[in-house]
Amino acid sequence: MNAYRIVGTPQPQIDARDKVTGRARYTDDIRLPNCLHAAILRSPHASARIRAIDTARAIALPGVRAVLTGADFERTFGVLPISKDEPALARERVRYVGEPVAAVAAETAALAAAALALIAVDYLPTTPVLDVRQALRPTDDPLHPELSHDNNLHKQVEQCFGDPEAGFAQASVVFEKRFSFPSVTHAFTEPHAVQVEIDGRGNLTVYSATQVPHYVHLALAQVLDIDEHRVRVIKPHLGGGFGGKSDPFPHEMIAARLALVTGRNVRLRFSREDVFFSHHGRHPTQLTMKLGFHPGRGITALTGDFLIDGGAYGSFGVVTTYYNGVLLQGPYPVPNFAFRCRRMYTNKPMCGAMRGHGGVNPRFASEVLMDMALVQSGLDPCQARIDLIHRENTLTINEFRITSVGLKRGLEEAMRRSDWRDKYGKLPYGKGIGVACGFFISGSALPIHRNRRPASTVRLTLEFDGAVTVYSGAADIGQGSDTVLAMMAAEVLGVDLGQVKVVAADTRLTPVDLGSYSSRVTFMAGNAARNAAIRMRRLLVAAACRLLELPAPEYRAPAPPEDRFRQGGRSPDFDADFLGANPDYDDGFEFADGRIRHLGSGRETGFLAAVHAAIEGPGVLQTVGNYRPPKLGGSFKGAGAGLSPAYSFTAFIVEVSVDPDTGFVKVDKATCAHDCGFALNPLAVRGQIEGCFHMGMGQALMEEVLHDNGAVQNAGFLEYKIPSPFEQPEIDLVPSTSDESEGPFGAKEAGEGPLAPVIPAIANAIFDAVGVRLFELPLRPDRVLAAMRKATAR
Amino acid sequence: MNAPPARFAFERPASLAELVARLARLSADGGDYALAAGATDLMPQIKRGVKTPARLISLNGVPELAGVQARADGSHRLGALTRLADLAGDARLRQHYPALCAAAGRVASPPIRQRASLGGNLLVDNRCIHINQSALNRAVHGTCFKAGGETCPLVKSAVRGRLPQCQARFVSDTAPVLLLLDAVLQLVSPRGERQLPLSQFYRDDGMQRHVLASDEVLVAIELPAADGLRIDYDKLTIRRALDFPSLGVALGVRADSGGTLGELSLALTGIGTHPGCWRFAAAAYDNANAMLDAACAAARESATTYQQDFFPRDYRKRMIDVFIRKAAQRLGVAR
Amino acid sequence: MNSGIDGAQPDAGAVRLLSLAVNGQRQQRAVAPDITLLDFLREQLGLTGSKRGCDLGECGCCAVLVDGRPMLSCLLPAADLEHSAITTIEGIAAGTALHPLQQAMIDEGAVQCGYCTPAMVINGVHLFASEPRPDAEAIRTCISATSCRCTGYNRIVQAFERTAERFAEEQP
Ligand SMILES: Cc1cc2nc3c(=O)[nH]c(=O)nc-3n(C[C@H](O)[C@H](O)[C@H](O)COP(=O)(O)OP(=O)(O)OC[C@H]3O[C@@H](n4cnc5c(N)ncnc54)[C@H](O)[C@@H]3O)c2cc1C
Ligand code: FES
Ligand code: FES
Repeated sequence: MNAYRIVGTPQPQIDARDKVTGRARYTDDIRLPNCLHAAILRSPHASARIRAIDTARAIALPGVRAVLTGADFERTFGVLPISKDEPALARERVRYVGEPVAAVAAETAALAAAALALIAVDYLPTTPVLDVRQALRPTDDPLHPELSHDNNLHKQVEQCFGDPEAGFAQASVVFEKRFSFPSVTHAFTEPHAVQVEIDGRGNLTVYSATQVPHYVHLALAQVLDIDEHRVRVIKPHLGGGFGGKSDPFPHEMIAARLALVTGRNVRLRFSREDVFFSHHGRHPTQLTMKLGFHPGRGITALTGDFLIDGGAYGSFGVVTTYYNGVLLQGPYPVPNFAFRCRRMYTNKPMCGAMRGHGGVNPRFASEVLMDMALVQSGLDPCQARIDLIHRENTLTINEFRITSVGLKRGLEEAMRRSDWRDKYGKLPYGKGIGVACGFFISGSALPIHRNRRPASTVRLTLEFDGAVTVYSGAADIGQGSDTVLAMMAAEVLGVDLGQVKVVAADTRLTPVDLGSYSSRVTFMAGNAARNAAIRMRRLLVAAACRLLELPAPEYRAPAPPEDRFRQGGRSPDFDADFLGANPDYDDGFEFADGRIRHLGSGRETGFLAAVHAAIEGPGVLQTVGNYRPPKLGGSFKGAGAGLSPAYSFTAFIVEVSVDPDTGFVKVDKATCAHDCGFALNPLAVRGQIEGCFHMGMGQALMEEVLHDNGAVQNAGFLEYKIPSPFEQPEIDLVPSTSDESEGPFGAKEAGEGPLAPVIPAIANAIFDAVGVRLFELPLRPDRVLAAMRKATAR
Repeated sequence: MNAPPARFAFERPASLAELVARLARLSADGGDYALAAGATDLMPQIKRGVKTPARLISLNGVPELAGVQARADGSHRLGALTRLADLAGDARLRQHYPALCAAAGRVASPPIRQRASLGGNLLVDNRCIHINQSALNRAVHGTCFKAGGETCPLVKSAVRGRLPQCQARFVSDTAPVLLLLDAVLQLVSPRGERQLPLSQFYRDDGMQRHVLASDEVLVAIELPAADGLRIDYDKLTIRRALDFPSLGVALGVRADSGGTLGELSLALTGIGTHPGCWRFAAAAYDNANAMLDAACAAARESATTYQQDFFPRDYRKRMIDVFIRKAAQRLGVAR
Repeated sequence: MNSGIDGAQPDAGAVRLLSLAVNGQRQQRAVAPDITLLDFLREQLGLTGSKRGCDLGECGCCAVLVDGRPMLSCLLPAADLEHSAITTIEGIAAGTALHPLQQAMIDEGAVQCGYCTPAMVINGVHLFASEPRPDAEAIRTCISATSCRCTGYNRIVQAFERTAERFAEEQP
């Protein structure tokens, strides 16, 4: 079926050459003229009142141009409108070790650092709240009194579907366990950085290492209290994000304010330790989960009680609170389902969105319980999972619309390729094989800021010389989104990839895109880009028809939605801002090799000739494409959480060796079936899956942010252990794709979904190897060894 | 506008004589300086403000500290500036002292090993999760002894200047192997030259870690011929790259004239304030297993562990036995 | 003044003139005594291809070649490098011709965010210069010099293997 020239073929990133030669410019690589250097003073207390700040000596230091404190910022901010609880600089109180308290701009970085040492802050330390249990206790002095809770609760979500009690009664096996997860962090290689350029009229151009230029733009205008049009945010090359750069940050507000008060350009960058202070990583989680299973009925009920540690501020926490529960609605049907999730404030760096947002820790619990239930029921854990995976075009109990599902075939193939049947339960002691599955959203269907605009918009221009430019607000954070947008434009317009330039993530030049989070870019910006390109193609076809004296083609009217599962359909529907998956462009023309050929008559014209003909009237060729998710979901409270136009599905089969003397776990091999819909760029899909494995394995075996008196104790790459190349196994990727009617060319997502199942797959393999189950991460050697000793003592 | 003063002054003497003359003058003036070889241990500490020398004296221009000499009798002289990468990759040295080369090859990362020196590795500072931190993070606890403060977060009862002393742990990867090889240090100071067996070099104190005087330079490491001594070195780390040893075990076996096990020797790193070193002569034991048992017992008994590292203290302690026995297996001794 | 430094040099704390070669070009610059090579390259020469990920020797992103050997520029006092020859990522490609490893990194999808890429290439160039046919162990060791959070290292290993094959084909 695939007659594509470019999409579906492995393509290196379009800027890879700049990256291998050192030409790619990241935020801190930009050199602005006459630039001041900024530095931030951070709190040494987890919890304290600020009685006074004396900045006089710092300001008096020659070369210091400005000093800011909390008094310089009236408004708080936050990525979610419902929790704008974060100040740019602490006011009255500090809530975590490392919180920004004051900031300096000076002529050199060394002077700025010297000035910080001259700022005297008079703190009155107060008792910090350091864990969730403590946070649950009633207090007169919560971290955020504005919420009017009598303890440190931030957000509580409870949902119930079906009748869990009845479901458990139908089960033949029921397991209930407590699980515990520490915090883990993104550990991207490029520390946060920002540079602000100010012009003579006081307009700001903010270069920032961000995944969400649009949100930063809005937050800057609000916090600085200036008109939105005076701000422009540009994301240069970005050295990894994984969710850790998907909020507006205090340092962006600080640098911009410093530029405004000094009238000078300002540069600010984080140390690696600053990155750990700023955190926004995965929430530490205590959870209890109960799973009922019956061999004939599948999962009969699933309930969970989650207590997540949000740290000092809100960030994406409200979304996390929902995602902990709702993302358990796949990859298997759960007819009776209830959960409660409580997010607590504590005096630690805040948690937020991290790859696999909210779904990772609960997935570990559910897939371990699932394994226990299947083993107990005497079923093959792999085959049984295959049998249970969602069927296509179904609704979950909480009314998620499940469309394409390619995992059944994929996991069957993975089972074959990994020799599962010859290995499972049959390997010698110390060797084991395990499996786990997961599912994830391809972009959240609802925007963070309620509005009626499209979720993504792309503008496309075609110049007299044939150069195609894609203008997209989407932020390429290293995942290769610019490349995939260019590929789609090139495919539709029949031009070489090199002919397409992507101008992205510049809030002055590019249409609004909400940002790179929740795996939304390929799906949403991708649909918009394809849509824009098809419109451009129609302009060229019309011109070609004039040149070739052919009648203009009649485009098929959009097919009516077949049923509630297919709201898009395959044909372009401009009124609904939606273009179907497979570009049956249906114009009767072929675009290739610089020619446009009419298939019926064989007549053809040059591509450039058509461009010239088309451009005659308007003088410029420009089209716009949108993507707007269809209306989805139920009408109950919280129904919007986790809604996505499509879901990805993943399974990992993992083989491990466990050293019985040391408890060390070595992952020998992994086999992955990931249903990303149509793989637009197989090279990028592979890269995402391998990267997910690395991050999942890190969380499984070694990663943990350690706190001590609230301070991050391992704030660097030596003591925060991300796996080295020696730990990473070979990963066999088996075909598991599907054709997603609503995705661009049939695509879904690959950037986040593959992470979650990695962790339980390793745990389940450890069980196969040495017969122990662990319920606390990371699965450190000492824990594995202790569990083995306990098991043999029994 | 005045630029703030540089963190340190820098100089680079071009010969040993010049270096020693400088040291004599500087230490007469009270001497707030640090010698820098590869500086891979020094620079991170300076950047974090753990060390604040007013002056850095580079050893990299001193030719007398460089180079490896092999002698006819199988003994060797390794200049203190021998880079770990060169040591690890030296094919001839690998024939004589394979474990030393292997241990050098397990330090840090490849580009660090290109710069890091063997001398610096023997002198690498002791570590603790409370000291290897930024000033901000050090202050969270009240600054510890080693950072010039009055508290030890590990041993709450400790009083500065009295026992138990600072418990920052010894971490050199090459020291245990060099101890088993009976290495002798060649030291030069304004007072002259002395030869000191490595076994007499380290002290049981996380702060005053060794007996090197502040104006004394480690010039070279003298190694006798390996002479049938076979050594196995392995380190406990969660990753196979970058990490300091949470525990390092060097086990040596020497056959007696009859070809059976004559002597067992053992040295540890990563676990206490200094590298323990023990020797067990076959004559005193029934068999090899008894020697191994004795080695395990001695090591276990001497090791005090604290919660100052990735691995929990009791696990690190438990692994001593396991590592010794695995080393013995690899060396083909006993069980 | 140069930093051949005679023993009594009084101004060891002052700015000094440093002369060295960077990417084949002689440079003479005034440097503070405490500045690192990374700062010298990025801030004084504007060569921003060498990346700062930690400034403490832990991430490996700042690697450059010093007299042909890869070293971490964030740990090197610039003043200690008098008369050295430095090669940064900007000096690896010969004109428009990429080093085979650079090309392989592109082709094999070993480049994602690219922040680790310069250091990966620097270490790799040294590896292939000293050992054109490295085995799997040598390749992993070389790659372990630099943290990469994006790729899981598999594609990078693949790029190195592809480069080794290319060298093997060229000089059988
Ligand atoms: C990320 C990272 C990981 C590391 N991992 C390890 C590891 O796994 N194992 C390990 O052992 N080390 C490790 N290190 C520490 C260090 O890199 C090595 O110990 C290295 O061998 C130190 O040598 P150097 O020449 O760089 O020492 P320097 O930093 O130059 O010196 C260290 C100390 O020795 C003194 N000194 C050096 N040479 C002489 C001399 N000739 N005479 C007198 N005094 C001298 C210095 O004054 C200083 O106090 C690591 C460092 C980093 C940054
Ligand atoms: S910047 Fe991280 S090692 Fe140099
Ligand atoms: S490609 Fe992003 S860190 Fe390696």
